[in-house]
Amino acid sequence: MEKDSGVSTVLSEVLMIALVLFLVPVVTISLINQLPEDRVPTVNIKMDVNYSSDKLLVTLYHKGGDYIKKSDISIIIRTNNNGIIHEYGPYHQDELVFNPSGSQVFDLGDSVTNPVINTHLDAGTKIDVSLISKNSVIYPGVHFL
Amino acid sequence: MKKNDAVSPVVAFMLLLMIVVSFISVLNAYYIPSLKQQSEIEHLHNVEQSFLKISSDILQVLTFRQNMTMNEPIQLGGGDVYFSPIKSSGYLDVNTTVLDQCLANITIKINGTPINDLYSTINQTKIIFRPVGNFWINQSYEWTDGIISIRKGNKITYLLHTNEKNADKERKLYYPMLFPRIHFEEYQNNITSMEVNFVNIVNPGSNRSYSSNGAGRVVIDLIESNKQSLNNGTHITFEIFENNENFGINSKFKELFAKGDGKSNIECTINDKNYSLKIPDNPMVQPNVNITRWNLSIHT
Repeated sequence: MEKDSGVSTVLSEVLMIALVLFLVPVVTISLINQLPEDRVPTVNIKMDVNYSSDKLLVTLYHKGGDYIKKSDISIIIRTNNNGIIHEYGPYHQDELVFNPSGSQVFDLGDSVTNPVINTHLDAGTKIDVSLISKNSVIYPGVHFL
Repeated sequence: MKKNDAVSPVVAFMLLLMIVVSFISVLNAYYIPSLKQQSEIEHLHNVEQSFLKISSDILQVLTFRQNMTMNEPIQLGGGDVYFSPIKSSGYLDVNTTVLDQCLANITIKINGTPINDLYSTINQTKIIFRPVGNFWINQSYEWTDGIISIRKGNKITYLLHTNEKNADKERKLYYPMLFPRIHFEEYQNNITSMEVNFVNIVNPGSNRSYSSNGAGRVVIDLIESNKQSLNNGTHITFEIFENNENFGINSKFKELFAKGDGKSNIECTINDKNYSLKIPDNPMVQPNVNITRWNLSIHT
């Protein structure tokens, strides 16, 4: 009878290596998933709402903190006029008016204004404004006319 | 036959070691800097809060106009976390010589002679915080004549105001707090009492700046530095210089001197930007006239 006592040893080593090769990516991926997500930008925003002649303009001023890529910015405006809710936006870089307009980032001292919204709003209308960077609302603002 | 039973456990151990080392590297390269940034954000937020308090303290000191000291701590360094206790530091500076010329100056002469320590100089004043070796963004804070600004490189903006017009409105509320106050009491066309209070902004001198990664402070002192009571037959002149015609001290003096005009026991005269008060030798009613100078010292 042929002696093959080494077969099981080799086989077990192959299996162990296979197991390790399988476990390495699994463990790595699980550990990496434990890391926190990218920090959401910390920005101080000051809001100014201008409503006259049925035109609504909301300007957001950057008052310190991280800069945000203009391409990551979107703004949603929601008006609640005696229970009648309208949502405008999300407005993106191509629709928003940045001041100054030159750079690619929204940084200290810059401002951003929505395109003119033609609507009739009564006194007391609640205006909710959300400044969104990627998927996070970095500034939720409210104003009552 | 060659024995190599230990090969696979060693390989497995090496691979596991690699995971652990990679994980620690990711922690060092990504997670700890992110924690330090978060800590620095909190630090600069605390600095912002301190500046808001300083601004309010200065207005409070000027409103009460009595001997008082306010002491506002500022966290100069930050960004230290458990795994990396290294801190950034900060530089604090109080500057009363930002402009070459003062905003306004009042010289007081009694019987034609200027009195030592009885003058008022109003300078533009700046309190500046600059982060050094900061782990987030180099965002500085500045308080200038009642207005707080944030600076990042060449970019500067007001903390609380959206435009220059609003900021200017606030500045015009701050300056009158530094103006002289003249308070009359009268009875039957006679001045019975007159109190004149001046504020003089003092150069912080050797206490001008401070750099640390620990705690710093801004001290606001208002101290009565000179008080004069005027006797009969005394002639007092206020000579006013204003850097900007519209600063407002001249118009305030004109308005106040108009109140004293025509009184029996005191003569008020205006000659261009010189304002004179004269107590006659033997007035019918003795006026009680006091002039006080308050030194406003903002220092570190």
